[in-house]
Amino acid sequence: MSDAQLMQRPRRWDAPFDPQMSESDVDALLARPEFTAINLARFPSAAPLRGIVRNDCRITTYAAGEIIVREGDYGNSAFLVLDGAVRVVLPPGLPQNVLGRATEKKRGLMDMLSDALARQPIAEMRDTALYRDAVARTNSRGEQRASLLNVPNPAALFGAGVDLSAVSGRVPPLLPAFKTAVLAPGSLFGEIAALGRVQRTATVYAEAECRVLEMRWQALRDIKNRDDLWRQRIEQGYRDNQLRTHLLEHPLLAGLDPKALQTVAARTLFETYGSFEWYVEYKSGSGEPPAEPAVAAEGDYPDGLLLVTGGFGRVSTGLGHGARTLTYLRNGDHFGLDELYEAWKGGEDCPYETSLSALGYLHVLRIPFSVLAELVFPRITPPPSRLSDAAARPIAQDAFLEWAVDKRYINGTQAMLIDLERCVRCDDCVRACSDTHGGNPRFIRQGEAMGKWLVANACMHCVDPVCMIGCPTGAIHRSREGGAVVINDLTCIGCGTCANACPYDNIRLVPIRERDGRQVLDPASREPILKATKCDLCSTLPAGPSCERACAHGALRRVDIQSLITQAEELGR
Amino acid sequence: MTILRASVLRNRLVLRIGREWAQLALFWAIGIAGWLLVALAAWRAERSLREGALVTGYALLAMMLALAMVNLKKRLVALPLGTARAWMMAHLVIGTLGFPLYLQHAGGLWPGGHYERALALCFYTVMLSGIAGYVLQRLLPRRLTHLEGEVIYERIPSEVFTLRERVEALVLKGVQDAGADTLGRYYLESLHWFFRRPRFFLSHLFGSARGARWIRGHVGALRRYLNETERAALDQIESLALRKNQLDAHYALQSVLKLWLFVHIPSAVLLIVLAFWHLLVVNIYSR
Amino acid sequence: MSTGRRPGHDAAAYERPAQPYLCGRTSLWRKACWQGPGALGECGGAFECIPVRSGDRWECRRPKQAGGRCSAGPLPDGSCSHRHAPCAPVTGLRRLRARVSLVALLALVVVLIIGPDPTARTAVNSAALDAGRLSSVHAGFTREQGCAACHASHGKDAWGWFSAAFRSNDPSTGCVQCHGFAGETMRAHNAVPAKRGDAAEVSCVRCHTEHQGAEVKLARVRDQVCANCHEKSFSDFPAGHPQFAARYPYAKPGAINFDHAKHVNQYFADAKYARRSPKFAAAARTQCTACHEVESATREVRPKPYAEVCAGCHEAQIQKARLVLLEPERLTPAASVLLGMPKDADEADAGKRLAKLWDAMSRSGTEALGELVGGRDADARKRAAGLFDGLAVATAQSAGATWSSRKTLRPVDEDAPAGWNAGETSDGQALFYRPRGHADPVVRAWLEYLRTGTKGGDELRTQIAADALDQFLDKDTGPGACGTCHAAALRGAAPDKLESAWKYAASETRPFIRYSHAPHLELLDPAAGCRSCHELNASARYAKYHAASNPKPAAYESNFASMKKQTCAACHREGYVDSACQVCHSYHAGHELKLGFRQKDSKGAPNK
Repeated sequence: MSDAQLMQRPRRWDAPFDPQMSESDVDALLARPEFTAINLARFPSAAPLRGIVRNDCRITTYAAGEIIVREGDYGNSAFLVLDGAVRVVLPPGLPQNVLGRATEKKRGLMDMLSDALARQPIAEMRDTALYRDAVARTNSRGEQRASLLNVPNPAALFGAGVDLSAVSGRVPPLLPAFKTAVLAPGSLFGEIAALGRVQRTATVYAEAECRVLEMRWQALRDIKNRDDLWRQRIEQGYRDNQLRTHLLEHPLLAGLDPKALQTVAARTLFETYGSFEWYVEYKSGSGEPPAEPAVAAEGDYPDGLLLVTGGFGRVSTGLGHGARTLTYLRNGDHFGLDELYEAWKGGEDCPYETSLSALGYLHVLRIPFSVLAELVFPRITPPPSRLSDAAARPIAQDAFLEWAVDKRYINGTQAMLIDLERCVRCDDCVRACSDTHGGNPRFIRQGEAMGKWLVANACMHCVDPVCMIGCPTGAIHRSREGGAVVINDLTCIGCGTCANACPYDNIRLVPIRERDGRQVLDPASREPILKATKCDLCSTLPAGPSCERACAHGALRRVDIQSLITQAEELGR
Repeated sequence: MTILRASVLRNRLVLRIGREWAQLALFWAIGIAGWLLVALAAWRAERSLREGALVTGYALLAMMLALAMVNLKKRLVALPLGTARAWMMAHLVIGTLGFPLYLQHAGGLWPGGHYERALALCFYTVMLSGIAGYVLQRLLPRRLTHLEGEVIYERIPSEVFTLRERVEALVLKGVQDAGADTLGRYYLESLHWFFRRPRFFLSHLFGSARGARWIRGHVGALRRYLNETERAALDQIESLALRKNQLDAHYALQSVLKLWLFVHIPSAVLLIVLAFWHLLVVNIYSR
Repeated sequence: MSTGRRPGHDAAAYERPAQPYLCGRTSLWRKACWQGPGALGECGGAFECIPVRSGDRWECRRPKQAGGRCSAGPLPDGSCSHRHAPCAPVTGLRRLRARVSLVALLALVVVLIIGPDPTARTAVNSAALDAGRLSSVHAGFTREQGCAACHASHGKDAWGWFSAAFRSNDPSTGCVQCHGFAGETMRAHNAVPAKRGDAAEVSCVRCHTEHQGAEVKLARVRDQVCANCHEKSFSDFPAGHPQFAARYPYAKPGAINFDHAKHVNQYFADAKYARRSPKFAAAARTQCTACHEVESATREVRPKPYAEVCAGCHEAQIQKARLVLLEPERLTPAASVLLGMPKDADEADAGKRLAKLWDAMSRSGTEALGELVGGRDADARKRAAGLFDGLAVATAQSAGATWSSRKTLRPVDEDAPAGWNAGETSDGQALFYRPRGHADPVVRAWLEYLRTGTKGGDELRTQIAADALDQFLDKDTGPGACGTCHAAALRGAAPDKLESAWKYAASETRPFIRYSHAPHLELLDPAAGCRSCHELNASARYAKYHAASNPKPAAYESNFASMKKQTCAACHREGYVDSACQVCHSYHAGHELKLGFRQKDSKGAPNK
């Protein structure tokens, strides 16, 4: 074999978030009150605070009216307001049809044609010249900035008769129906979506020209791990946000007046079960499901309503010497309502009919019974639970549910499900995936099978993508449109954190090769340069996932496991 | 609750069987309508003392090119040209309707003349292999699913190798531990042949349990010569042999699922080339 | 095989079905090496890793997917300790399939080119062009020339051959070299029908398909082909074919007035008439073949000649009927025509003109008569010669002189010999002509002369001629009794087609219907004979047409009942006798083979 190409193994800060940030900018930032209190000694020498600020943060200026974050979008950064006027829209928020959603630029026709015709037989070929191009490596490509002043129907936001063209320097106030609040300089926002890997919970826009510090969530993670004040701040923000979004938007509490709501909020407790790093134990196990911390046990007496705000929980009932899963809970579901309502109505305590255990980790809000009895139950008739239907099902019907829960496939929103009775093993799906990714497939047509359903080794784009937690550079992120979990090949340093974290082994590290087929090696250790690869849901293609569209027998589908289970239940299968 | 339920892109329902039936019915309706139109146009041409075979001939050529497009579409998977499932349904409908159109065009089942017979032979080969392929694609996946486990075809040699290595290690260890070479001798006489490569191809293809019987027979025959330790090794060898048997079944069925296209596609290539030749010759000699 | 244990993301690499080559070890049922074949299909390498020097030790660099660092480590000289023989990479299934397609295509081309039947002399061998065997009638004479005998585009150079695809190459142009038709070759039925103004061109190959095998009869065409235009398509002749035309096959009147019913029922039966020729009458009464020539029967069964069948009874009648040319006191019809005076002319005028005529005749004889026949050209002289053929000058002179001087001619015997006579008979004096027999030329000349005179010219002369013709054609008194049988034909014929009006002509002559009596005659019931299909219709008013002064063919009523489809359908039906269209109908108006003998010149090209 000919000589290998040598390329220095990439490191975390090879691609700074803001290439234009100068040392004086960093000095100015570190002099701010938010940063001066941080104890620099707690940061490792490999990743000092200065380095974090220099490489994982970006100073951005927004003009009046520009939307910084939009409710419903996915994002990977938090924002610190440096100066200027910034406003946040409080719930219920701006109407989606006026606001729109982020769109991503898709590949054009000529590009796709040339991809289709190109045949390159070298596996994982990369143009290493691009890796040295700093501009190419920045994490934000082609971001378009939306503006409140450019919405198609401004009357819906500002009211009729407001002339937007006469605006200079300051956005006129929104209609009174839309409540807003000012975010003063020094405020932090967007950390929930960044750290929690969920959609933005509110829209924030620049009322007048402002400067913000956009912090990659890696920066936030590192700072919060090393500094107590920041951690408290973030956790407090998290809680306030949880309360705000869950309590205000839960149908059960929808009719409460603000004062009652305030009372509820004040007395709600936060509880966490299980561990964030549940996947570690999950992967190291011998195939047996790992232990699930109990949250509520069948037969115990409930003392509060549990609202799930993060993670997954298993609802089960005792069956002989075992336990039978009836359903599982995720963000937005509640537990124990029937029993509490019965207790309030009948005046007698009513025990739990089912148990709740944490699958991995579970975040709940507990609203105490007294609060419910005082403020909520008198006004509302809770709908009856469907768990009685679930219990009436034959046991065999639950096999799929049990299996999906045990394997933690319930996390998946785009699980690749293959109907083995239709699949003719032609590999057209793999071929299509490789054709649309330069000759490199991004999944393997193997995996766990349940009856005729096979869940293949393709990224499921989880509700809670644990792969993203440890990424040092932010190469693995959520795409703006739709929130698919994608890896930016240019900034990935091949550390393997995501691949090791994925509970389903859907991420693979691959050694890359040059155009002529030579391996690319690190000169010092002679180890091949690796890059993490995974299914990106063909988010840059206009037509959607190629695998699904390439299956000639309708065997392959990208499904949300939740809907599969619901469908199966409804059809009695 | 739009924010709280994180739904990525378009969450579609899984069970769309009902929608597939409707799509198929629509394709059939359009196909039959199109076929009737062509047949009608050809009939009207005959009534006006023009050649009806021209109408049906060009229709057949267009049909065959449309059928061949399904292969081209696979290359252009990124372009929004519709799903492969829809294309396959169209392929089945158009392919089926091609037969009555062919009969109308050729005026009978079998023509005279060398190259026309070659053309008809290719047509029948493509059609019959297509039907056979369709039947196979409905029958075999179910049988594959009922086998234990799932294996990717290209990995079968590697799996065979792994099993063979493990069995040979077991045999060696068994011989070493027991101090007698019975296991080794018998292995070389019988089981080694079995572990060299996938066996009992036809039996697995037709669903017969011959492979398992063969294994059990040999294992049963050997057991009487062995002591406890050796028998323990033999039990492990038997379980590996049964796993290999399942692997063989996978190999047989998946091979057929891949090999039927070796008849269908080359004869389709021949058919299209001959069809263009036919078009040329007809235009040179009789139009 | 997946059995439920978690392998870890390092354990397996992506499967790459798009790769054209696979490690050759898989064909030996061994584990494929992790490198895989190169882009050109060469083995990826015999070593499992490239060891790396670290300090003074060599370290293995085998990737995790291939098993990670090996326990043995590299050899002291720095080479990998795990070597395997280089493999011969195998082609992936897809590429193999493409190769199979290519090979099959080449095989096809070779088979067709080296295929049998290399008779064409072109760049491209005929096996790839062979469309099937020719019919035996065409195969023989085209063998030498091959395909080019009918296909002009064959035998050219490659570009000429190819570019012929964009021109019209109807082989029908070759068919007409030998096959001729009465009418337009490329139109339906070789004629453009009156109704379909937009009748398309029909080339021969539309209906006659060659290359269908040696035994195929090209002339035979399937009924469906007829049904392409004839919209009433049917498969069952008795049920589906339209009923025959109302008066088929007796719609057209014959040329000769022969009342079959009267003859068979009356004249042959009644002794009063039959005694003229008793033996004949007895036979003819029951057997049609007594009069009709059955041996040479085709579409028509012709009647035997006059001399054989009619003369026996009618000859005497003909010879008795005199043509009275001139009488001294009266204006005969002939005289009225010659003099141009109507028959009801003033007697005194008539007398004066007659006197002048006698005078002229006494001097110049027949010349005077000839002058009266109009015109001085050669035709007129011929006519005159015909009208007075055999009339001696002396006879005419003496008659003229006699009458001029008001004398009386000598009496003439009633049974005077045939020819011109001038004398006194029981009916008075006359210059008359006694016909020699059937088809007497003088009488015939007079009738034709009168017939032509009825057309054209001024009204008076036309009327005079018409009156004279009526007289001449009278059944009882007409000269030669020609009118008995020939009146309608003569009256109905065009003046320039009188020659054929005398003769027997078949009444049913439509070109697209064909019928032959010959194969049917053997099947007749001997007792019924011709009456199996030809039935006399006693109630038909046959004589009406022939007696009319202006005969209208539309009013003609035949002696025979018209033929009905059922007569034919008794045998021509499914399971019995062939009832295809072509059995009774022909498509081509008339077909002749234009072959003749063809001489070849010295170079071998045929002389025209």
